[in-house]
Amino acid sequence: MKTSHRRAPAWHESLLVRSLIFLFPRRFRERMGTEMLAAWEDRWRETRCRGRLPALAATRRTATDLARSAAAERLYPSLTPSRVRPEIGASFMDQLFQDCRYALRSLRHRPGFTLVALVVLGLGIGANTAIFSVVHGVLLRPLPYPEPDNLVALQRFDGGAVHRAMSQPDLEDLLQEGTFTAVAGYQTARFTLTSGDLPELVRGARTTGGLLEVFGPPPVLGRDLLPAENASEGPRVAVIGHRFWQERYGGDPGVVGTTIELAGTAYEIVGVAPLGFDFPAEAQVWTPLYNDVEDCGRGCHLMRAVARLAPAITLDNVRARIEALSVRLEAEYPKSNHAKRFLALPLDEVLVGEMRTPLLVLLGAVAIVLFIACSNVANLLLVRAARRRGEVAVRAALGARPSRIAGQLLFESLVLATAAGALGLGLAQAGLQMLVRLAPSDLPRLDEVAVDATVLGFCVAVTLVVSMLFGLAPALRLARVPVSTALRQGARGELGDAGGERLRSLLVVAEVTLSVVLLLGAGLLLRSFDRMTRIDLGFSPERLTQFTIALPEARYPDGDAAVRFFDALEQRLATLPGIEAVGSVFGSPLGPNSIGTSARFLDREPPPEGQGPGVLLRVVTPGYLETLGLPLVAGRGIEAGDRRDTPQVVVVSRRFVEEHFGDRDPLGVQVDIGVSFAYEEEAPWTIVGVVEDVRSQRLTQTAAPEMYVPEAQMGSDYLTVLVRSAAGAPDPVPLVREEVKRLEPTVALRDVTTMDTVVTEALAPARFQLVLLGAFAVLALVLAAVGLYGVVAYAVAGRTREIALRMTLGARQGQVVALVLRQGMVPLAIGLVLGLGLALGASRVLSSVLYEVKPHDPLTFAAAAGILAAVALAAAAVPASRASRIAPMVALRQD
Amino acid sequence: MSSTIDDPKPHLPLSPLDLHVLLVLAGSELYGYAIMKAVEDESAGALRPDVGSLYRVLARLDRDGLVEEAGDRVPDDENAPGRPRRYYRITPLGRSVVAAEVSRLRRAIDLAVARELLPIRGGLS
Repeated sequence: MKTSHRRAPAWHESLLVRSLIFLFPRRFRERMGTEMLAAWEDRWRETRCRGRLPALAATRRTATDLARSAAAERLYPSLTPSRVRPEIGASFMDQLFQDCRYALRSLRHRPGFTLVALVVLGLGIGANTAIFSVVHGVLLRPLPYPEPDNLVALQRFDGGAVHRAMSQPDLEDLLQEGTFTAVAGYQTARFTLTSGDLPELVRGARTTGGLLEVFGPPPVLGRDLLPAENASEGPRVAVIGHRFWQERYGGDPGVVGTTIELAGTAYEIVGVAPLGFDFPAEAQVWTPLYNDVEDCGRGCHLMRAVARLAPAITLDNVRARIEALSVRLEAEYPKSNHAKRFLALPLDEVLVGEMRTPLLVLLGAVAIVLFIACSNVANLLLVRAARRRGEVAVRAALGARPSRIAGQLLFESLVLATAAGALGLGLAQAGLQMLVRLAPSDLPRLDEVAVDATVLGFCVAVTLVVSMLFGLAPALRLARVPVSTALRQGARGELGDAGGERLRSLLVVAEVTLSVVLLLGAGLLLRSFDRMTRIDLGFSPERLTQFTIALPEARYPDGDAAVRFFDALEQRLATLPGIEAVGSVFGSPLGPNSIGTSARFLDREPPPEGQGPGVLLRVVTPGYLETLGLPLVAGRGIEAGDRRDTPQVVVVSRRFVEEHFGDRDPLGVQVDIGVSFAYEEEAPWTIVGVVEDVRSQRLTQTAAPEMYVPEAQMGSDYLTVLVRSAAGAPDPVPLVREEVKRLEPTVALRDVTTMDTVVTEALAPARFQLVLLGAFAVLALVLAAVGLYGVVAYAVAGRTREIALRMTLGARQGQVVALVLRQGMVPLAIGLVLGLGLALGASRVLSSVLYEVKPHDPLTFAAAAGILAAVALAAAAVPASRASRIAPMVALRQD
Repeated sequence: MSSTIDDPKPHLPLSPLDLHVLLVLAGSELYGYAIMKAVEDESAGALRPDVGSLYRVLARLDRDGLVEEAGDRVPDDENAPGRPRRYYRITPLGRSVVAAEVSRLRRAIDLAVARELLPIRGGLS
């Protein structure tokens, strides 16, 4: 239809322009409004016949221009100013501008109040924004890949626990089954880059191929690794990261086809990963896993796995499908797949893991702090409101409607909250840096935490809510006061205001209640943290330095060469000045590496496959047990004489004996350890000794059963060397570095650290929560105390004459103090009771992060209540004692 | 009193938009959107006033007596059907202000030509 091209804009199409015209001063609008709208409509008709987009663009231009012009018109009116005051019957916009000026003036006139309110609210909004940005960056923001909801981590449940490690044949079957469009197994790795002058470590991963296919974006150059390349004799190929490509190769497009040297072996670069892709764990180099399925098959769980759900498959129906596959595989492979069930979990949740609860708890805590801050400012406003009744009454008497007065008062709150929001945003920016530094370094996606548009939106929303929270009650109260009463009271400067007092006490009750909850949470975390720092590791972490060495395969092709290297290294290190003991291990305590295996006792019936006793295996050199200081319980340790040509021996931990032998003597029993490194032999291993337990997995996890086997009989080319320095000796690292370089110049020391640092880092998540929740609790306590002080002080001010009268009639100071204190005690007592009740329920959310402390720990409850009561009493005591020193004659004469 | 009112000097110099609006209205009486289009045309697209800016200029020129309202009528344009539009016309004062402004500009152009910033043949034909 031709005429439709010339149609007038529909109502909704003109809404924006109409409302913008509304921003002009009333006089201008009345004179020009209709014409301006008509002019826009003319332009709209003309552009609309060229299509929707031109019309939209034109409207946008007009809108921008109208907004700018409206502001300009208000600042520099182009109409002759009229002598008529716009006050009466003024439009909404005029009122808004007037209210804004009024609010600013009113806030400027009370700098003390404004400053306190700004700081209190700014802290509250800032803390909320900072914590929210962490929660947003870590928990809420989707993973930066196409259709992130379809990314899952594949894991398995073995009837007892969930394990992240999967086996390659299982993964192949999972892909075959059709639930996933792509599946990739991977191991995180650190490669020693040997192309440069100095060996250097690069984060990376070994994959089964197809990792980029799982995540979505194609490589910017070349191709992804192929599943076919993941074979024990597969080609030496690598994909490099975009950042790595930019930094090392200057973004050279000819990089594909060149080689990169990793641990002395040349790998052909076949592709460059897309910008920003660094899965897993900031990887920048990916190679095939070179897994030999003959050697490490269905029962060999060595890799983690990610997958992408096929279209139209949801997390709900994926469960049933892979469950069916699990059952089928169990029937087909009863040995390796006994009771094995596959799980597909949302990848983002898996990455965040255990930090979810603590972060949400912190978000809740910080919201409570903000609520308390709002109550406090509301309290201050109520006090101010009482003082402003006269002013308000005069305005009301002159004809201002209650809604207008309330609106004006609310606007004051909004202005205050907006300023506080801006302050809070600044504080959040600064606080965020601190938070990120304080956060445990393994908190995933920490680098994505920033104040972005969403966070900004959150801050604005919080600010608006806050202004309502603290502004509404005082505004409504004040606006509803009958004019005559207010005028009478205001004129006399009287403060009596029973309703307001009740409201203030109610706010203090709320503050005390919530402070108790926070204080209790912080108390529980503190006790839990205290317990954690006292954990007996089973060894002393003092003066223990450690570093890891991964020998390049090219130069150390077999176990013998590796054994010779570590022998020589330990001998040399032991002669260095200031070094007491040296020992090496695969799987250092609290470190990332450990080998879980199942031991089979040759003197007993073998248990059903897959159900053997779980045990941690550590490959150690003879000096290890001594360096760690593990006392021998029975038999002997690993000795220098245990070589490849002597009988294979194993030393077990006390826990191992308790679980498998009870009171019987384990010495001499033969076991099959079920794991081999460089050497193929599977001859039986004889238990020759028992040592004390070590908390080797996690600080808060009791010692697991362990087996120690000699490096000389395993031939690991990857060991962590531990060096115990003599007391007062200098840092051994420079000397050690020198020695290693002399022995093998192509090797880089990895993960050089001290055991003390390792323990400190293990405590980092707990410390993070404790410090933050503790800070929030202290803030809440201070705010609640200030609130209580305010209520009591205000009550005292209102009762000065009464108190003076009582004192002239013979009341003693003590009686006056008690009288005033009672005023504060009622809200305190109610708040305490409510708070303890609330905390009983709320503390349960902490149970997953508490160590050896019950969420209902009576001691902590008592302490929290006690501290709060003491602080509150102190806060109330100040005005009480002031009241008792009132000079009766002066006070009475004032009237 | 009247001499000061009719004196163009206090109104000089004009902003480019003021000048072009006055130039347009010196041609004929026009209404808002038509002025916008004419200004864009006559300034070869250098000025593209939008609704808000234009009506602020009109309000100011009206206040200062350089233009005045010329009544409402329905324009003869398919883009402006239906309701009447308010027309503006230039006042005698407006004309003398434009004339004063343009001769000021002409002096500027002469200077530019003398200093070889403009080709002599250029422009004012």
